[in-house]
Amino acid sequence: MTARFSVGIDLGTTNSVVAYARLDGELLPGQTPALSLLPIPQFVGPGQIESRMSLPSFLYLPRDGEIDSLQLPGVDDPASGVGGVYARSQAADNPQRVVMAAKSWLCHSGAGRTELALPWQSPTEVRKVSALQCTERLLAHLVAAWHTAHSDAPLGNQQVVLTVPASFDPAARDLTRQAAVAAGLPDDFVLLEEPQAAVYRWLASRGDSWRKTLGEDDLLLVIDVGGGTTDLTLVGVDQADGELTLKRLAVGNHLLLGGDNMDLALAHLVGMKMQADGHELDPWQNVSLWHACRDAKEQLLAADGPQTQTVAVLGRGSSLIAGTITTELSREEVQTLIVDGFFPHCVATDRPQRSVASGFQDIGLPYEADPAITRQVAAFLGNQKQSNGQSKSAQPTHVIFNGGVFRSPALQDRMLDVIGSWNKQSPVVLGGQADLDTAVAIGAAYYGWSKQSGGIRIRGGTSRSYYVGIETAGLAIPGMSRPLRALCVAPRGMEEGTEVAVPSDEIGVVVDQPARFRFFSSTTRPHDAVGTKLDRWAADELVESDPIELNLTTDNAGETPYVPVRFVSRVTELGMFELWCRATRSEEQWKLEFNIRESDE
Amino acid sequence: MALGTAFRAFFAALFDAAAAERIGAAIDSAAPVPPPAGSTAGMIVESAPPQTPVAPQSVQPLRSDAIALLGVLQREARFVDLVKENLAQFSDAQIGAAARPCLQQCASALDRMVGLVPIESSPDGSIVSVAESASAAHYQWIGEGESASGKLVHHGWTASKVELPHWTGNRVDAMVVAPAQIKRG
Repeated sequence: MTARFSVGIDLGTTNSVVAYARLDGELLPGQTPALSLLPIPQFVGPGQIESRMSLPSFLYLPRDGEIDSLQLPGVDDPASGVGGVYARSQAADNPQRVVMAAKSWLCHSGAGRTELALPWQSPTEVRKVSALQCTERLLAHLVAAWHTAHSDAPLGNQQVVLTVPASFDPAARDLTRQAAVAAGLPDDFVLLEEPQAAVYRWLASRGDSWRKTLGEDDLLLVIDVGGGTTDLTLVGVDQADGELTLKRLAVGNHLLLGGDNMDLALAHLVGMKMQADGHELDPWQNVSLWHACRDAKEQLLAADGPQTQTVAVLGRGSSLIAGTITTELSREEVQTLIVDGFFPHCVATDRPQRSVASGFQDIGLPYEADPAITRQVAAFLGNQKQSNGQSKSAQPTHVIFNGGVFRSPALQDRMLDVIGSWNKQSPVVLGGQADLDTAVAIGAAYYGWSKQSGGIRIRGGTSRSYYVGIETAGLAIPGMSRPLRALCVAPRGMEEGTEVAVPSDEIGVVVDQPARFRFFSSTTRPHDAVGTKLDRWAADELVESDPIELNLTTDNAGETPYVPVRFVSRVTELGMFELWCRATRSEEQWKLEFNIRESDE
Repeated sequence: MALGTAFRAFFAALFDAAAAERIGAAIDSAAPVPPPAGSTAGMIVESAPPQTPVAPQSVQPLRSDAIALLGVLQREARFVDLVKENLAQFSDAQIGAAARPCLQQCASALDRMVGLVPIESSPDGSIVSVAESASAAHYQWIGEGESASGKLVHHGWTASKVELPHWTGNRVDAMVVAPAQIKRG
């Protein structure tokens, strides 16, 4: 059955959005299809279903007595978790029963991905889930919402594009794929990097006329600051055979730093003021303070915003007025805390500071130590200087902002000022303010349509180079691990649908026990070719991911205790990186799998 | 397919009274029901009158829309708490401080659920003409005369949609606006 819709799914850290376009519509040449958002029925309270245009990516693990009132058609078994607005509201009163930011746990190799460890540090009577299960639950909810609206077009038959952060490593992509297929997405769904989706959103709004805005050698920087993460991507404009083409040049590392951090920082400031006045806030009030601060931030940072704004938190009990606490927040305070705190002026050679103590550590995820997004951008652009062969940092000519944070023009302006101070001129902003929260889903749906109809595609291949760690056969010294070498198994920019045999010595895989290899990636070594061996590297050049392993039995080996193999790297048409071992003495080959069992760590 | 139809019928019935009537009729009579005019395959059924007269199936919804609306306003804006306060014991400043966030959140909840818009878009005090066919519910005359135009005193309000949350609970709970909250430990 041929696909009738292209469906773009933005599974966000804090909000998920689904957009779609018809594939069978009649369009004039150069015309783009109508792109719509999918309403998502969800619980807003026990027994109360509302349709919203986004699904908060929170999973609430209900009490036994509530389960009957949380039965949503199409989403079985509420006991294993309920997503959406109700789950988000429960995060205030019952945080021990709510899984937040499951997506950040997915790419965090510490714990909780496949282990039943979430909600993190919750009491024993609360049912536990893994980040993988949580992701599957939320996706299954989105699938049910699709079937509610389109019962005659099963999602399994549609062209589905699911977005992931550009900074997701292969293991996190693999987990996302597993969760998605288990949730009912078709096997051949496509993974698309979120910042690229934001670029497609802009392309969708321009049609063919984007070529009038961008020219050869232009450099487009996508700054995507979501609720919980910041994702950076650099896209270059090339000319080939007289046609302009777009190529994704680089992506940044995974930064656990987002808009929520800014709102929380502001809420913390206001909370301290209220405390100084003798008021203690309970958790529910803290959350309403958080929302009040977000609104106040947006108003105070608006172009013609007021000088001060009253922030009020209503009383918790049924006596509302007597318990209401108010305080004033001034434009200067917000300017200092948010604009100067998260977007400070800095020079191109500044780098994020590592040693700043962070109070967030105890909640399990490795949040960024330095909240300065401008310094993160400076480091990202600085890392690209090796790739452009120049001694200077990459100089973007255009910027696309994504994420609700940038609804405040003051933050866009500051970011542009800072980048402009590094270059000769400020970059030009592409795209509008209208859909900062929905651009990724809409761009993904447009990409799916474009893939079917042969429209523009951003080329790029793998965003990093990949390495396997091989222990050298040096003299063993007691108490010392053998020196480690890194063998490059895939260069950066390896294209979808290609495969490359890794030139190397034969590697003996011992049978009947797992052969495990340490696995690394790098965003900063664009010139390593496949087969390159590294004897040493700077600590931040290679980032270690989960080990990758293979388990061969005697059936594979015949009479010898080991099988000699060489590595083969593949990037599938769907954007998945795979590492295979090919026997040197037969035609056999085996795929290595990422080992994500936390107990081994 | 049968399951898909069931979901679709479920949601259509939830969100649309006319569809609920058609579905009720289909279940009761097992007779084929004509699709409403203008509906296209795969889209949510838009509200449209049934094309064949069916005996009204007076299915009383379990929970009244008024309770649903109050529930939302209380949950999102603490509206019921505010109007149930004894205003005599507070100063204007105290009431104002509590009313501001409450009213702001009421406005955003109402926008989402009923989308209030003025009936007449001209500013108050401007001269507007009223079509002869306009209903008394839409336009109310103040004073006498034959003229089809007059000065706008109030622009009126109308809802542009009704999208209340849907209730899956039982009769016992149908009158609850907000639950009592009890903290353990």
